[in-house]
Amino acid sequence: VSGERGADERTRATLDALDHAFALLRQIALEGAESSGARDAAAALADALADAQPPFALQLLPEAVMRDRAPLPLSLEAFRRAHHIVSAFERLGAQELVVSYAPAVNDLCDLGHALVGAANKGRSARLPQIDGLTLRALTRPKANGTPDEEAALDRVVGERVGAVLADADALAASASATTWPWPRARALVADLERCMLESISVTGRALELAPGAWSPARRASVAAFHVGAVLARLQVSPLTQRAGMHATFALALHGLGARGGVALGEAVRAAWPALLDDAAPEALDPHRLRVCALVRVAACAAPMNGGLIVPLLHAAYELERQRCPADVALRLSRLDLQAWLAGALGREVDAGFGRALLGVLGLLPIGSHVLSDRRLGVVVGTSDSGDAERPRVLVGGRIATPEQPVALSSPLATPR
Amino acid sequence: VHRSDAPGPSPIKQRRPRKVAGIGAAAEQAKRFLDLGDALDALVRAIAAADALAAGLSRRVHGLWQGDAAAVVEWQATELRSEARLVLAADVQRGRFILPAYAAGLRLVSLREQSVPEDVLRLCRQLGELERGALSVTAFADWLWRGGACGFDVAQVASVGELGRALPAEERPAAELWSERSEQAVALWNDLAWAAAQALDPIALAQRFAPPLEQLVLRVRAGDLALGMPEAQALRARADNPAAWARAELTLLGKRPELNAALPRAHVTFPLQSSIESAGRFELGLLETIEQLSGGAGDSDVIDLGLLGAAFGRALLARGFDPDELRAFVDRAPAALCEGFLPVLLEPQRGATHGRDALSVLLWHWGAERFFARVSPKQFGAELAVALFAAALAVGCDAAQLGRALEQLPIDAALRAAAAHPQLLRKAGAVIERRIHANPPHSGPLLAELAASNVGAARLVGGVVLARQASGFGPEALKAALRAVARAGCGAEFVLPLWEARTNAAHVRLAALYALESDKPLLAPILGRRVANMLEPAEIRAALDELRARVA
Repeated sequence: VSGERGADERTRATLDALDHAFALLRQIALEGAESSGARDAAAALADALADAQPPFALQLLPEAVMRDRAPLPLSLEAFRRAHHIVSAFERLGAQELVVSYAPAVNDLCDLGHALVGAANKGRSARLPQIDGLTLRALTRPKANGTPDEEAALDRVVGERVGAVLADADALAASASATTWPWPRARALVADLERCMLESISVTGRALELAPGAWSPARRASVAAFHVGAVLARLQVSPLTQRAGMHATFALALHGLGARGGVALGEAVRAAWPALLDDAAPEALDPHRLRVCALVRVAACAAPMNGGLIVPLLHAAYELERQRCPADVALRLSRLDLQAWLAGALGREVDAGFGRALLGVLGLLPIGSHVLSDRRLGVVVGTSDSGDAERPRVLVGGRIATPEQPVALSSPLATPR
Repeated sequence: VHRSDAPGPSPIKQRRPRKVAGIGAAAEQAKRFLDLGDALDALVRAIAAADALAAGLSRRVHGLWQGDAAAVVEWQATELRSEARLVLAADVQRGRFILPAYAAGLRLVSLREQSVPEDVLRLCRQLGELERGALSVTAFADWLWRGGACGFDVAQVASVGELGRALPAEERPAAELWSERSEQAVALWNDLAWAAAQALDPIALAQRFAPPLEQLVLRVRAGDLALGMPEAQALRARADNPAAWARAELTLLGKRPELNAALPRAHVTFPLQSSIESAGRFELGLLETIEQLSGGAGDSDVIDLGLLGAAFGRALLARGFDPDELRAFVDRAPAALCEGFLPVLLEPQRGATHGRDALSVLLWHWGAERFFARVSPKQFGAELAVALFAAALAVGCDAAQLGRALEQLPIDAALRAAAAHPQLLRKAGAVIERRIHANPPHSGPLLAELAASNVGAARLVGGVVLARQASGFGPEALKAALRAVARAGCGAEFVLPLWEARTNAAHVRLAALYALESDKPLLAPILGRRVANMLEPAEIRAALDELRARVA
């Protein structure tokens, strides 16, 4: 309790500091940095920063202001005041303010002067070096951005995918046969969806290349990702995308074994009682209804030709069933799975949704091993030219689109 | 200053006309958006204050929003905008829910076509709780994610709580990261290859895994694995097929009633409607589903049975029906559903034949009294009236029932039905007579057709016109009607007196004169040259001369 109270006090003091910072900028704009009003405001700011118990870092973003990456609860008026400060820092190219200790009053006046100058004169204003404060630019992750932005995206998505896989394993370990943990599973699907909103390609790559064992929970997460990715690329409604991902995850978790797994119909029978348990009215919502309706439709005799998106669920499920074949103790690479899927079209999986799944990460899919200039690399995305045989490849620590078509390099067998 | 501290009366009660600069359609639209914002804010506050006006306000918001069907409200941090125009700006008193909803990741909201005021009420209830702090930003984000905002399309991004996780934990050079990823990829290849070598010998591995890879390469080169645009569109339509989802969800709800609370009743209506309209035939089994789903709902959140009845009606018009099924349907259907069903059968659109047949079946099934009590003849078109009175006469409908129905019919439908069915005139001629008397301008143009249909009708028409001394009927309509009466052999009794009454208006006498042209024996004495004719008005004399010339 004392820890929570302490956190509340720190938060309140940080909010006060933001208000005093705004007051300082206003005083400087009205009366100048040397005025007594400005000095009073700077002193109040210094006190507030000390009360906020440094060290801490403020992330100053247009959407929110965060203290150590946790959002501060801003009222409407506080948000508006904070927005002035965010804009001023943005003009200096800084989005993070690290407070090591409360600076001196004179230094804070200098900082205020620089910020007011930046707000009025633009980026030409220079920031003074201030003891106790460090200003940094935050690299926001961005697909197809600068190399730094792409690397940031890879790191962020990689970390979040790692967390999703850990959650999936924990959920699988604690799940009972009679009750489906709806809130946890929903949170997991939502996390996966957030990763995909950042970038489907990077999420796929992170899932494929993440270190660690290929547990049934991980394969269930990958199957859910594949379903979500196909539905997102087809621009299907979010309600259906989420239901498809959730249903796939639930069925795969009930159906996949350490090696292979049961047929989808059996997985439905195993999952059904748990999914219907705990039907308290407050636990019911359109998402749950759609997931259950989908699973019920998947109970049909031939899911490959089933209704709704069941054939897609079936294709994604079968792909993960193939990943760790039941008859032999090896694991197929993403490339081998792609080859299996291409051969199974129309025979073992629905031709339409199967093709969509084949193409969702490129015909030579992201995560596939290839030889580019006789060096082993991995496919990280489709190229701008759209040439399926010349995807973007990561080789020797560099991402590039090769001049020549790449050669496939399965760790299991190399084609003649 | 918090809203509760703010002085002044609640703007819910005070609505002043808003000033919007500008003229024309753009200004009108800007004003509508501002009205929408005002109403939205007022509704959130009315709900918070448990104000009885909330239900009415929700209807107002719904109406305003639906009025701008394409209006997509952009949810910014401190204001709502649509098409770059302001809808609502947060300030000391108003729109305090905007910032927390923005923090939850809400970015766009648009009203679906299939929405009801209850949906607006539900969303605003959540916004009110969010504003008061009774609902956390995370809980609101979760509610949105789970599809809680029924009736709306919503665009949602990560909430501010998740923003921290979307920032890289540490700044590292990109080159370092990609080198690490490269090493991981090579290590993964080595692991897989090693495990494979432990499991199978190289020949077995090659036999099992090389051919599919070779096929993959060939097919990628041949381009026969790519998904074309038409295929993708077909898959999308299949994945988002509303009728198929509706059927799946309804079947589940039918089998597992405990899941009923998952959807507001108002939103059970739309899947049901979709199922009814997409069913290959007039599907009686859906009534059972409706009965199952109707139970246990709250006062305001109910299935719209009228809407479903109309959907059944449209399904019948489009695909026809089996008479036994139709009879069973109307016997089982709740009254509210029938109230929606029957009017659709009267719509003069495609499928009118099915509609007429269905109403005839119902008239037989219910009997005239019950039928006309439920189906108002006020909406009958002429063709439908003709068909239904045939059925009514066939089932032995008595004069009183027929009279009551004829009283309610539009005048044209009543006269056409009378023209088509001489029996109807015999049983309820007095009603027809009364209606012609009551409305000469509208009945006039239809009298010729009625009089030409049979002698009884001609006598009825002649009698009414004579009784009114032809007053109120237009000249052309009168001429045509009297001609038809004269042709039916009733000229002496009903037309000649109109000619002979010199006090009648000239156009009445002229109409009678020309009508008598078809009855030569009656006309001959009139055309004889008499001194009295010299006293006739000039137009009468000219008409007599013209007729003499024609007859000669």
